[in-house]
Amino acid sequence: MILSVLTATILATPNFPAVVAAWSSGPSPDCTVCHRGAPMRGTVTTPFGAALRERGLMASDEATLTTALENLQGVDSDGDGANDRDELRDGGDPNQASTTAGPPLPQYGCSTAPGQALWSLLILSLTLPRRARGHR
Amino acid sequence: MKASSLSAALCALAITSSGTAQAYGFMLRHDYTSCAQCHVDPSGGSVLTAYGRAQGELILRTRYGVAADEPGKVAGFLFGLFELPEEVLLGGDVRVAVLGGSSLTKPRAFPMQADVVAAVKSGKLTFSGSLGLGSAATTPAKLVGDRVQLISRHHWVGYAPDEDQSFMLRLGRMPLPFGVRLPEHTAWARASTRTDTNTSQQHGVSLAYSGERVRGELMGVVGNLQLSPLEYRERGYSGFLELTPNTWATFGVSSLVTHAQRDLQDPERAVFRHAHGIFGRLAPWRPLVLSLEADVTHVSRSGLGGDLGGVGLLHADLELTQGLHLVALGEVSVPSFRQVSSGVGVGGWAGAWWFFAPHADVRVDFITRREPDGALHYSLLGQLHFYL
Repeated sequence: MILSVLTATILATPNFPAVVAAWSSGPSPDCTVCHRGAPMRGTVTTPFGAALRERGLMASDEATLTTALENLQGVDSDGDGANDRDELRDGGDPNQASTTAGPPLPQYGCSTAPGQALWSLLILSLTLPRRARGHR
Repeated sequence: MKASSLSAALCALAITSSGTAQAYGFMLRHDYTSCAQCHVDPSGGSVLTAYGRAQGELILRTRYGVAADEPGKVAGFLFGLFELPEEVLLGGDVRVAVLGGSSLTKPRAFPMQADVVAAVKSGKLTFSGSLGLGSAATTPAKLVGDRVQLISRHHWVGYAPDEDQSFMLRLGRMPLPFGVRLPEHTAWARASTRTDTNTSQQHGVSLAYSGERVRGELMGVVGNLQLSPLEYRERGYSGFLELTPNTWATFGVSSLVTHAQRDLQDPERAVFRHAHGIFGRLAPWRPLVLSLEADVTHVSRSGLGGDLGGVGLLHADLELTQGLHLVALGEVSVPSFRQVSSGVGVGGWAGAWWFFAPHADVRVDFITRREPDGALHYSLLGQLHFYL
């Protein structure tokens, strides 16, 4: 029950992706559309994120996000000819022109970091033989 | 300051104040100069040993006039509800916070921490891990999930050749050994050096030593393996060495150098991070424990170079009566010594902290910061913490 309450409270924090999705009429974008690295303070440095900050975006403040998006009409952060809103509506990335290969974006989690699984296997391989000896 | 910017500052603080596994440096007043007696991690924090749990019950919390020589079952996991094998150590932290600005018109309650931690000892091996619920603020520790995440802050296996575990070789994800580990883990000294025990853990191999007069840890960092692609992972080292000339004073040095092929802030560039500094802890009078740290930092990006900067803090813990503490912290951040006139941050915390019952404490802090860019933030932070 405690976990359910905590989960519900976590969900009550500002939801920027949903606000961006409502603005663009497209799918909910990934955090990396604005953040480089962890989605926390100081990492809103993508071209799209920087454009929002220039228009008054403040951390965790939905009102400033709404205002910034309203002032973003026609902006094309990656200069590929398609404005940011249209790219987000189509599920694209407003930070990367489709013809331009930019640096890969950082991702977190097991599914995106195969090294994590290898690391876990290594730890298991170290502990299992010891456990086996302990049972003899 | 506009209400919106104040709100944003508070939220940012809340995000960066997410829970952490704490180590209580103020236990120096009880002549505990090292961490390994009470924690499975030789450098402190997270899973408590049985001895650590006992001290939590006997000398950490308010006793209300009822002295005790033995901690009793209540010190155990879940108040001793379950009898665990000696080799199994379980624990956990649930921390709820309330954060508000000066007007306190819109205080916000949110979970800071919901972690379960465990350690299993098998002969000379120790395995320790944590699982918890997190949000976007804990993304570097994410295993799966998006808005609500399953996170693991640490998971490692350790080998201690001696029974007293004075040496421990560890492999896995763990906090970077650097400087003083304070409950105020968002201090600039932790943020600037990326050694915050909330989510700055990385994978690597470390060797720790905990002796009577010396303790230290040196870690070879291979990066956060929960981050990909690998160009973003930092490689390097981090470590500290602390000398204990007597039971009321310790002095140490820390050093950290890492390199990543891509900087998280600027993926087009490689980055070197340096942090080197000194720290110390003093208990000149039993109720008072002072901790201090001063570090120089240098972040150098390929093609851009970098500036030499610095961070420092002075922390004071005054225990008025057993379990009731007054806490103060002053800090300074200088992003660039070359441009001191254009940006020096100063900050201060003042709070009261009460370990009012077994496994429970409550804390209230007034926090103010003037950021290096001149922005002024202030807030009132309340925390209610239970450990399992």
